[in-house]
Amino acid sequence: MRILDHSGAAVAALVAFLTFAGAAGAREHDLILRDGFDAGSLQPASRGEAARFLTQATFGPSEAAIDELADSDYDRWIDQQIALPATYALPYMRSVEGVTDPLAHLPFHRYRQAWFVAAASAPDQLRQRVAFALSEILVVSERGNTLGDDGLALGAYHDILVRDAFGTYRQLLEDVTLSPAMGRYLSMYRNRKPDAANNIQADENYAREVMQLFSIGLVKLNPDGSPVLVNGATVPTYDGSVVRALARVFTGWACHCAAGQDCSADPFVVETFTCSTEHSMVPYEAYHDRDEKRLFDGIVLGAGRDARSDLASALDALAQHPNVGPFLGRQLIQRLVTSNPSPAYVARVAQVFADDGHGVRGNLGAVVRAILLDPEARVGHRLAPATFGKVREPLLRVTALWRAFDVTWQSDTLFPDDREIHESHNQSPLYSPSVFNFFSPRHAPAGTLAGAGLVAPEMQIVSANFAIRLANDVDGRVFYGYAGGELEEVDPGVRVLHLERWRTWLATTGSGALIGRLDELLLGGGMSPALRQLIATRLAAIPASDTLARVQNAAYLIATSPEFATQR
Amino acid sequence: MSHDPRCGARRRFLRNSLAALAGGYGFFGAPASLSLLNRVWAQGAGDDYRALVCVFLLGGNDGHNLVVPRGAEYALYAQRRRGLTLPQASLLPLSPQGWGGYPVGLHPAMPEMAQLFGQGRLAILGSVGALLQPVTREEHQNGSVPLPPQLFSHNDQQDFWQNLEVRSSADPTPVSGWGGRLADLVHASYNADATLSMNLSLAGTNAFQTGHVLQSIGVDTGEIRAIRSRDPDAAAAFQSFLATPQSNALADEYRRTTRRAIDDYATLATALDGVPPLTTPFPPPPEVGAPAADRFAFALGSQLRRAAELIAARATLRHRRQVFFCSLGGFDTHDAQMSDQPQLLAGLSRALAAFDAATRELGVDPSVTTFVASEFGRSLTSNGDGSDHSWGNHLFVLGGGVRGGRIYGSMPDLAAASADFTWDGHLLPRIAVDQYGATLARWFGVTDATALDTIFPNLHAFAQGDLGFMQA
Repeated sequence: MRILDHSGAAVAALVAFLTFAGAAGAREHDLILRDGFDAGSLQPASRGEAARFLTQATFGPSEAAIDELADSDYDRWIDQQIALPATYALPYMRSVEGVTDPLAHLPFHRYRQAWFVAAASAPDQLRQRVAFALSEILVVSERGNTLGDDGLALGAYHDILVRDAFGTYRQLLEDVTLSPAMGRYLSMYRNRKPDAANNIQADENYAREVMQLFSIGLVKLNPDGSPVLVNGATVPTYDGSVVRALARVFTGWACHCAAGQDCSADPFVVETFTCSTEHSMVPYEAYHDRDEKRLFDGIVLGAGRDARSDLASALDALAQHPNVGPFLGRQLIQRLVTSNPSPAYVARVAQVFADDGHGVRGNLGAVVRAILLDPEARVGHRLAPATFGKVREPLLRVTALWRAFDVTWQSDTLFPDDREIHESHNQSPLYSPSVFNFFSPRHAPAGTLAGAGLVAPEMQIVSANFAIRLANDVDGRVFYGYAGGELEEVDPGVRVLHLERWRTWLATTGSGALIGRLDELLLGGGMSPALRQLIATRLAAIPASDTLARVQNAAYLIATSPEFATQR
Repeated sequence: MSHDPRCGARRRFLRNSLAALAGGYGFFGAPASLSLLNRVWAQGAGDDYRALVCVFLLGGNDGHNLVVPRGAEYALYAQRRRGLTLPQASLLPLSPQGWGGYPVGLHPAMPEMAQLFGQGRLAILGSVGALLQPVTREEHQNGSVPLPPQLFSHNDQQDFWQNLEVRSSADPTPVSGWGGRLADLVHASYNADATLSMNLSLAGTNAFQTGHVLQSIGVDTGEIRAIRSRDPDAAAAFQSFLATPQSNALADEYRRTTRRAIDDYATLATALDGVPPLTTPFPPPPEVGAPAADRFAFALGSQLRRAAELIAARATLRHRRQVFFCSLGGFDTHDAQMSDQPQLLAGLSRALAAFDAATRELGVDPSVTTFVASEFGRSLTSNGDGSDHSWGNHLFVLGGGVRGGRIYGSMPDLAAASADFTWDGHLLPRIAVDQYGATLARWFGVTDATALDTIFPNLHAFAQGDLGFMQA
């Protein structure tokens, strides 16, 4: 039995969970142990279990990744992933664009290209997946007024999320706050102290959203994520006066001017566009408000402090707030594992946020590990099969297909359909319609789910049109965009799926084994008997000699099924 | 802050009556809900047609620069707004009928809307916003009157504008929007043979059209797609599988969504195929390098064009009542407001003018009312080059059934320490969203007081249930 001290908490939680799961849980307990789930080693009991884990932790399992994990265990796999060098977007973007000047413009489509290349093939999959999750919580978007086609600013923002994905939350919050992309997106960039003579207030935009969306949320939370109730009513975390005070904290920041660069001395007077959008913003003290600021919970920043000390104290206060663990933890669970985590799951993750076991608060690497190793993540699909899991994000449907079918491409340039992927998928990296992300973490589809008190955030962007388009997209990739298929002739940028190994497998083992192997890869081994029957019947109607059509039909029927549409 | 428990109980009772229509709330809810339906049913006779079109300006449009003082009041406006001041000479003067307030003009980017105002087809609502009951500056200051939750938060206020409900976290009834409740009550009586939901969204999933019984359908502005595959047998097998319920609730939600989408889009495609092309020009796709206004005009215009086509298809769809939801984003002008807002308003004005012309082409303009909404207004004061989240706002409504060329509600006194603003500078709404909506709902055919209270849970707190901006 291998228990590292940083995973000891997760293992102990699993043991406690299995011990106290109650009568219904006891049966599951037996089932789980019979299936060989080893609480001590956290080793995947099957290829399907490995694929399930990789669906939560990466952009989708491949046959090779499953083999690798099957020889290891979850905990060691996470160690290895965290230790891998980070794959950054900007160096790649500069290289393909052929520029060396760090201030040179980079078109935004190069960022999208970088993202797709990394999602499909970067070794540091866990880091990339967590960065993507963070990009949907600490949102910046190309669709913001001042970020149109600014691949430099947005690529730099992406790289902050990649770099800080396993660092501390406090560092992430500071890097995000001072990034020129966020500065522009939520207008903290060039935010100046109030000017009473001219009836000008400090800009409240960043102050409001950093509290509401990036750190503490609107109401006080218990450690399990439920709202604190006083006489049945929720308790606000802050009021308008706190927003105004925090707005004054975030005054006096503008762009950095590199050595030898021709910048105006005062970017608050004349906005210059030669300032670096990669370097953090820097303070211009003349525009920083030095009056006293009263924040939430009685925290007061005294008068006379400079921009950096005000900022540091305010971010400390936010990062120390008891809401952050459950607020951020619940959303990260929703992005990686399940839409409706139990309060106990949230509480376990929040506990790790509060202290990683070494006295560090906000260790995001430890939080991610806790989320993925939690008993609910590992066996929730068996304990609560009716409600566990999440709808796959549209983008992650594509990456899952790519990785499952060994995607290759001749040129990194995106084929036009994937370059405009938001038109078919209603989602594209750093392209949210607003700071509220593509979907809300509390979106409950009307009808059955809302009636049952369940949320399914991703369904907010799967409107009728996209439900049809997502199914048709599978058709295009499986029947048209495969290696040797028609589309390959059209454009070298097209990503093609490889079906060859599956045709060989089919010829060797027959339809039943093919379906079983694809079930493991795409559904974590959770295929329903009805879907298995559907596919078997369909394949039986295709001549055995047509291995291509049989493989295509099997892949198509799995990837268009409601079962693949959810990850469990 | 205290809530009158009787009001809460009353709201819950009415909501549960409606929820009972959806089934699942037991027998005891049924008599009340059926009687509600019957009351609306009695009004549903005849073969008239009416449509409501919600145009939601996402981000919070700055109403202080939509309807702007002229004359003596202008100096106060300029003094308070500073860098956000529009030149007086640029304003499009309005001559509202029977107006006792100060002279006003419309934002210069909206000549089409100024013209419609002059033609009596557009009405302005001054100082409208989210309220649970009337509130004065003093009551606001001492916290003696309950207010809607999270007044300055985008998503919370978008939700409140659209659902008008204050929810306790322990309340198990699903949330619904007022467009959804309206449809729940009228769909059966006006659209008995309908082949599609009367709640049609051109802007995706929204809270406004969420009903207890009837759900909205999202209609794309482009091609109405169907499932297609290079292997038709594969596609047939996929679609047949959508009849098999899934044991997991989320997978089953996805299954039902896809199945409904396929069926609804087949109905839509047939209905739209039978519609002769509109001759009214709508804003074209923007050219590369064109002003942002072209992009906004196209974004909203495409939604409104599809709405016009669905109106034209009403006979095939067997709809005598339709509700549309459209939206345009970008109004959160914390930054660069003086360059961005004109582009947004110009796009809005052009798209709405095209839609108005299309309803005249279709001969339905007295039967189609377009109303503009936005989650909140913006601060009167500048933050340097933009404005921040605020509360009360000025909005407008247009169509042939509108008693236009008038201002309803009030325009605020802009003096410092004015009683029309809170102590911390937010415009106090004088008209509630409930009143705005109820006036539209009456015109739409719901006049029964209990039914209106069900749809508009805060309406009872306001003396005036009908603001009078719609013709009888």
